Amino acid sequence: MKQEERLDPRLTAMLDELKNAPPRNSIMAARARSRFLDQAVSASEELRRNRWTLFQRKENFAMNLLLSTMIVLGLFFGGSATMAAAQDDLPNEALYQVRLMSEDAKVWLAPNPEAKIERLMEQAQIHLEEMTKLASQGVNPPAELTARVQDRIREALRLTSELSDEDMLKTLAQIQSRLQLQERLMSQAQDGDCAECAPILQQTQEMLRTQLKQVEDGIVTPGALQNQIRATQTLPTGNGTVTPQETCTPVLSGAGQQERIGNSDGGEANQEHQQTGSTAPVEGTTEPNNDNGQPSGPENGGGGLAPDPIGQGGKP
Amino acid sequence: MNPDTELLTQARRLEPCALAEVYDLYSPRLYRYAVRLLGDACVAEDCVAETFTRFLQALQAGKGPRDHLQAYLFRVSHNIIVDQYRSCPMTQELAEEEPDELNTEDSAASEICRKSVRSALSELTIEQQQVIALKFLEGWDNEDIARVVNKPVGAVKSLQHRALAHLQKILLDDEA
Repeated sequence: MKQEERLDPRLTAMLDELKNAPPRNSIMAARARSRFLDQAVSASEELRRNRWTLFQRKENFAMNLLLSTMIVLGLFFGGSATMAAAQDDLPNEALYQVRLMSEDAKVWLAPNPEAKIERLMEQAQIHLEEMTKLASQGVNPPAELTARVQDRIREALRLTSELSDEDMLKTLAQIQSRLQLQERLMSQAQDGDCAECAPILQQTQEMLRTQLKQVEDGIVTPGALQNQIRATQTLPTGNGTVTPQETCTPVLSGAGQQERIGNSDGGEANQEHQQTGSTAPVEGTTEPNNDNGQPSGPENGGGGLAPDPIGQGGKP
Repeated sequence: MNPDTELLTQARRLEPCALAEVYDLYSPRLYRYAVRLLGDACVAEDCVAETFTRFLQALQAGKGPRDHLQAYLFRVSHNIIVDQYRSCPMTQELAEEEPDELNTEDSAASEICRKSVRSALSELTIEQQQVIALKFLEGWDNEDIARVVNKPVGAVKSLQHRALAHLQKILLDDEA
C-alpha cells in the first residue's frame, strides 16, 4: 500500500502505541452484557406484547364485524325464512298475515307500473287458488279473500288506466285473459263437495265477471274506462303506487271471522266495512251517495266501478 | 446465507439469543476500538453500552442495518466517540485510573505519546479519524472501511492520505 509505504516510521510507532489498550475489566464487561441482555429481553417482550395488542385489536374488530354480520344475516335470513315459510300458508294459518305483508311489499318494490300490474294479477290468481284449495278442504273461504282479489284487480286496472293508450290496450288484453281463466277457476271450484262454500265462490265468480266486463268495455273504449276509474278513485293509493302501509285489505282475523263471514249475508258484510272505516273496495263506503242515500254504481249513473257482489249480499 | 446476515435477521426479530450473540461477537472489538481512541475504560464501556442501546432502539423502530452489521456498529460507536471528544476533549486519561502502572518512566512516556496521538486524531475530520483508526489500529482493509464511512474505496484511500499527512504535520512537525 502506497500510503503505508510512505508512512513515517515515527508515526507508525506512535499509532502502534494506541494499539496497546489495557485488557477489558471482566466485571464491568459482565455487567454491561447483563444490562444489554435485560434491554434485549424487554425489547423482545414489548414487541410480543405489541403484536398481541395488535392481534387483539384486529380480533376485536373481527369479532365486532362477525357479530354484526351474524345479526344482519340473522335478521335477513330469519326474516326471509319467515317470509318463505309464510308463502304456503292459507288464510286459516298462522303466518298468512306475513304473507299478505310480503305481497304488498312485492308490489311496492316492483320497478315499474307494468311489473306492479303483473304482480297484482298474479296475487289475485294466487288468492283465488287459495279459495279453491280451502273449498276443497271443506273450509269456507273468508270473504276478505274475495275482497283482496278485487282489491288486486282494481289496483291493477287503476295502474293500467295511467299507461299510454297503446300499453293500456296491451295490458288490458292480458288482464282480460287472466280474468277469464280466473272466472273459469271459480266456476270449477263450485263443483266441489263443500256446499257451504258455494255462496262465497259464487260471489267471487260474479265479481270476476263484473271486472271482466269492465276490462272488455275498456278495450273497446279506453277513454271511458280511464274516466270511470278517475272518477271513482276509491283506493288511497292516489300516487299510483302501492306501499305496504297502504294496503286496502282488511286484516284477516282467523277462523271466527271466517265463520262470521261465511254465515253473514252481504248486507252485514257491507255494514261491517262501513263501520270499521275500512278502505276495502266496497261500493257503499266510497261512492258518492245519491239523494236517497243509496250507493251510486255505474248502473245508477254514478260512473263508479262495478258494484261489489259482496256488498250486495252475494246477489249478482 | 452469510452467517452474519442470518444472525442479523434473527436480531432484527429481537430474538434475545441472537442479540446476545451479536453482543458477544462485537462487544470486545468495539470496546477495544473505543478504549484505544478514548483512553478510558469506563468511558469506553459506556460507549459500547450506548452503541448497543442505539442498535436495539433502531431494531425496535424497524430500522437498523439489513447487512454489514460490523460496519454499522463501528459507525455508531465512532459517532459516540466523537461526541465524547466534543464534550470532554481528552480530559480523562487511563493514567488517572491506574496510577500504579504509570510509575515507570517508560509507561509515562507511552502515555504521553498516546495522549498526543489521541489529541491529534481528534483534530481530524470524523471520516479521517475513522479511516486512520480502523486502518492502523484495527487493521481493517479498505473495503470494510468503505462500508463504515459509506464511501467508495478510492475515497477511503484519499481520506487516509490526507489524514496521515495531517497527523504527520501535527505530531512530527511539533516534535521537530
